[in-house]
Amino acid sequence: MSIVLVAGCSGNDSSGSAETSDAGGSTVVSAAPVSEPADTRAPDATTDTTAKAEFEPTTLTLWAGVTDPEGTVAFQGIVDRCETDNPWLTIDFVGKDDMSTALPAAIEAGNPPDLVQADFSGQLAGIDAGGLIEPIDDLFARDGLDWGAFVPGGKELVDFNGQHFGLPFSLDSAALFYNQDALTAAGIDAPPATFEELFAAAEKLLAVNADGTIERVGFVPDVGDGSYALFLTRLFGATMFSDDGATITITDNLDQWVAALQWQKQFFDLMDGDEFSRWADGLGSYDSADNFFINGQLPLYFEGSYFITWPDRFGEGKPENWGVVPMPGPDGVADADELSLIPSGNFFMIPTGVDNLDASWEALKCMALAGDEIAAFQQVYGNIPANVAALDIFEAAAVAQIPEYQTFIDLARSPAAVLPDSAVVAGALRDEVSSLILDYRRGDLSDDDLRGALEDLQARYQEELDLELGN
Amino acid sequence: MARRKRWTVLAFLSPWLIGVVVFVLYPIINSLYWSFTVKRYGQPARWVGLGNYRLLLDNPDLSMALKNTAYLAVLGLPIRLFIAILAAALLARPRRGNGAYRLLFYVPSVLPAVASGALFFFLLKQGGPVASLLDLFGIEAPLWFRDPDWAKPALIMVGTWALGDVMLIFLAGLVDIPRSLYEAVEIDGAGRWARFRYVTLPMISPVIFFTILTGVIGVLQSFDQAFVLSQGARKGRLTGEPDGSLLTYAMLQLRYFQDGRIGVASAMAWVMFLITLVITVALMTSRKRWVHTSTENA
Repeated sequence: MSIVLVAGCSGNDSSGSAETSDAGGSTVVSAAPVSEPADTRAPDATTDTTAKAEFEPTTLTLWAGVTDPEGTVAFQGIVDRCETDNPWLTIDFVGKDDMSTALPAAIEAGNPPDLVQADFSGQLAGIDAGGLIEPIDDLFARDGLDWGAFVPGGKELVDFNGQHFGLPFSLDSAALFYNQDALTAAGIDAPPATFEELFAAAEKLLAVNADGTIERVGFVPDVGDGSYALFLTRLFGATMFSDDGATITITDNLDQWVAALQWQKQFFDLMDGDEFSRWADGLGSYDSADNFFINGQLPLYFEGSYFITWPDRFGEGKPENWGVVPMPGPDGVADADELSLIPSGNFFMIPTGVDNLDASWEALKCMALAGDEIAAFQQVYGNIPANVAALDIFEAAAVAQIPEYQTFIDLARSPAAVLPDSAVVAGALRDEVSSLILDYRRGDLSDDDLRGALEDLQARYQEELDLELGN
Repeated sequence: MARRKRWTVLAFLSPWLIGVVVFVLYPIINSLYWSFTVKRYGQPARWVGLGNYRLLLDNPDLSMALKNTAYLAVLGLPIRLFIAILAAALLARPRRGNGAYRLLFYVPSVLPAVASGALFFFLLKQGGPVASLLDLFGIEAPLWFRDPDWAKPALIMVGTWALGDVMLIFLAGLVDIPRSLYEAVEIDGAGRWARFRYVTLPMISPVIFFTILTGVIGVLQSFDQAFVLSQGARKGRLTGEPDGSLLTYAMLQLRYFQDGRIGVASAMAWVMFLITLVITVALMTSRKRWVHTSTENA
């Protein structure tokens, strides 16, 4: 393989690169400067932000977490764009829905794909510890790329302990969905903007039948498994791991944890526990017209941006009047610039042990910086593009279609993005804290017990973490 | 000449030997080694001695997972076997439509456990067909997989539904009993109970032994239905909490796999192997006391 030179993978048809010299019959093109602030560039500015190389004809295998027909067609658009812009490149795109097991196994076996697109948010500590993915910092600096091409949360998504493990693709920023008709019927004019308003709305919206069964729940942090409840603790500044993933930090901010869980419990205390279980057990399929938000069983619902497509996809126009606002926090609704909850996101990465790192990197850049094609793809799924050029295109198209996208886009652009923290024991500890949240919610743990239980978890998992890391 | 013959035998056996060494022995020895290490995908293993085993013993979820697994084995398995014997006894008698009945019993066991779990999840949920039916009679449907009193019994019920495979084994055993034995005891004046007690039961005791042994091993590894019915490993811990939790040993093991902690997961595999070994040895030891064999017969 011979790398001949550098220039851009276009996110659209314009080149934007300057032809400067000739080397051995190959056209040599220099990359345009990349330090221009992202928010001042035109949507097609991705053309200028990357480096193009010419290689021997190369076929790369790409594993992507995209398997449904509609998404596959849209994702193929990104692939086609990069093949067009890089005539030396052929990408074999393979949809994978078992990425978390298939990828480590392939790397361990010494037969990894050349590129990967997946959601490994909150798992970077394990990726780092296993050396599964190539950090891209040297390549990024070599090609003079600028993180300004991505929203801040995108950079955060691929960052662990100061290293970056790929380029971001999408963010699933989260906010509060509300059913305006239900609010109006309950005498509530506007969606809640403070914790007090949220609790008052939850009280008013709760509908209990004469026999004690629950018809409608106003708001709960999650509908049963404790997973979003866990992430909502970040509203109170409750963290689980240090930035380097080597320390459990629960007891460092125990007061925040307790405050967060007490706040959550008050919503469940509005209802009889058994009746809530009965209500939750009777909820319809999530991916259907029986979805609890669509059919009005839960008019206030904290969820990621992807859910914005649900009313159209499954609701057949229901609920009729719905909207989205940022999730209220302890001090009211924070400006998106001050706090943005992003529970997950997707990124492109290069597994360790690939045959042709430079070729993989060129393809990775091209795919992560595509403009129109990423914007089109994310409109299928409702996630927010992480590269600024694609986001600009997406914003113009998606908001015109569904204005509620604007809230998620503002949150995705936030410089104060909060993403899942990470450690090599993260999955197990999250499971246990989620269980503990439910114990506390049901009243099986008192406030004092809660502190003790959190301290016990901290001690036990710090020991596990030390064992894993060899500390 | 003998040496040459030995090499010839080994050469013919070599495909099998290589297969066993590469695909059976090597993974077993490797997992034993890994159980004493911190091992992650992509990284060499690091020796930590008994660290993983100590960590497991400190995990309160381990005792819950073991208790749940034991519950399913001690209560669920006998119920399953009893109903399977009963069904096999009914279907062993020649009567019209027997083929169709046998098919009806067997079909559920053809369904993947995940599919049958999803089916029962739909049937038993609040507002589902079973709840609606009970409602017609003024009976409030239980929270099958959320109520601590119902979670594990409901799981046993789902497991018992798919007993076609066991039933088929019993059926083969029953059909295989020589008629002459029944005729002999009938001449001695034996009634229905005596025929069952002194002919049927001894004659199918090897089948019972086999189904208990494989059933126990199967229950110790039970994962898919509990996973589906509790909608995931974490919910397995939460469902019917605390006493009715559906968290099985294999589901707990998944928690470590999800974090890529192969060392701890391997230690769990070896703990389960030891438990299985003890139970198997106990069953094998008791075998002589209650299993009728052709050797004894002879």
